Amino acid sequence: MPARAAVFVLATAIMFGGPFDRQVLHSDHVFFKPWRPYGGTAYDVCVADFYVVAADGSLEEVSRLRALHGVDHWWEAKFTDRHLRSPKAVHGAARALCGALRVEDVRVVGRCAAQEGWAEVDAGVRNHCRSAR
Amino acid sequence: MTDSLLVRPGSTRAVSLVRVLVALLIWSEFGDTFRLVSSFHDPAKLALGTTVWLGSFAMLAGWWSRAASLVTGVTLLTCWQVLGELGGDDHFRRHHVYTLAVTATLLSLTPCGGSFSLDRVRAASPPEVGDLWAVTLIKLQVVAMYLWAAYDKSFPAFRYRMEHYTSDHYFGAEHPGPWFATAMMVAGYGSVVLEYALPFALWWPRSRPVALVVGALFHAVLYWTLSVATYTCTMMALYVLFVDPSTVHRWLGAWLGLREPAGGDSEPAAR
Repeated sequence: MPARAAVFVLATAIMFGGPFDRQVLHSDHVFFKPWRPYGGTAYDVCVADFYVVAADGSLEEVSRLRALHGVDHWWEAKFTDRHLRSPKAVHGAARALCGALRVEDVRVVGRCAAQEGWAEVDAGVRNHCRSAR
Repeated sequence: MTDSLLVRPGSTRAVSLVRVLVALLIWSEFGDTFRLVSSFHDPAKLALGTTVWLGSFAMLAGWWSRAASLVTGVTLLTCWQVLGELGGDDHFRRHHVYTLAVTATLLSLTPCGGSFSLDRVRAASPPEVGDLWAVTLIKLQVVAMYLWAAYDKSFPAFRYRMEHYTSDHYFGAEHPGPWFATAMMVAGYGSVVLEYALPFALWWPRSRPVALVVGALFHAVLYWTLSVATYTCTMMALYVLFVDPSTVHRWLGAWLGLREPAGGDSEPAAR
């Protein structure tokens, strides 16, 4: 019975104390398991809105999926076409739109996933068609 | 109090059912990873994989059930630690992989070969009773998992993680609209509240039936909407241990048409 009690106490201590060590005390003891749902994944995600600047200076939103991949909705696009995985990919898509739409000024408002939320990668002030030429 | 915690006689059918389910879930989870063609070039992985295959097969058959569970569980914990945490292989660091490893290990402390097993056949079908004290440890692992996951989600950054994850699965770079952030906040904090409540509701007999249904629905929705692999099925299998063992005994007996031994019931009175 003492052995059973020792196993019970030890196992319970690991179950509750291990995550406490990793998650509250922020240790790096890898032999304890932290419970971090969805942690460490999906940080290579960016969302972006693309705009064409008209002659009068107004912004008109354009669909990247329609212009570059010929589909109207995200669920019609191939999984790889749907995603922009980095700031470089966001800017690359903006430059590709210049050629695909034959326009002179494409702007993008985009952000990419970061540890504590979203990090802005473009605020829409840069004309990407200049760098496309 | 100590006696009731460390001495808990009861029917072995529930814990034996969980042994069978965990063995099948291990096959489902590691089928690709440990397939011969995926591991023969790596002697360490080949040795670990072969041990898991043999151990889990013995678990499924109920042949030396407790030893088989111990070997399988400890091998999977080694995979988690060596290949996952130290080796950087993300597959082995996942929560459901660790859950399967710990469950298999803890099953070795239970009479998990008392029913549905070659062990029982070899022992000329003794009554299906055993000391279920270690089942409490498996239930505590479920509780710890919920509470620490809820704690991790209790910070504002979690709603953004939900946005990242959902964007990754569905919308890609397309912004779905202004409703998206609100929906993720509601879904995120809803799951936090549920995960704080479930451990207590599962433990308290009066709320347990509702908690089992709500918890099962919660995990079913996760399975339907996100890529959680065997996590949902593992949690549902572990939920069996929260049901009174004598109730599970009766249900399985009626469902499978199992006859009780003449002259008495093999099911002990519930404590």
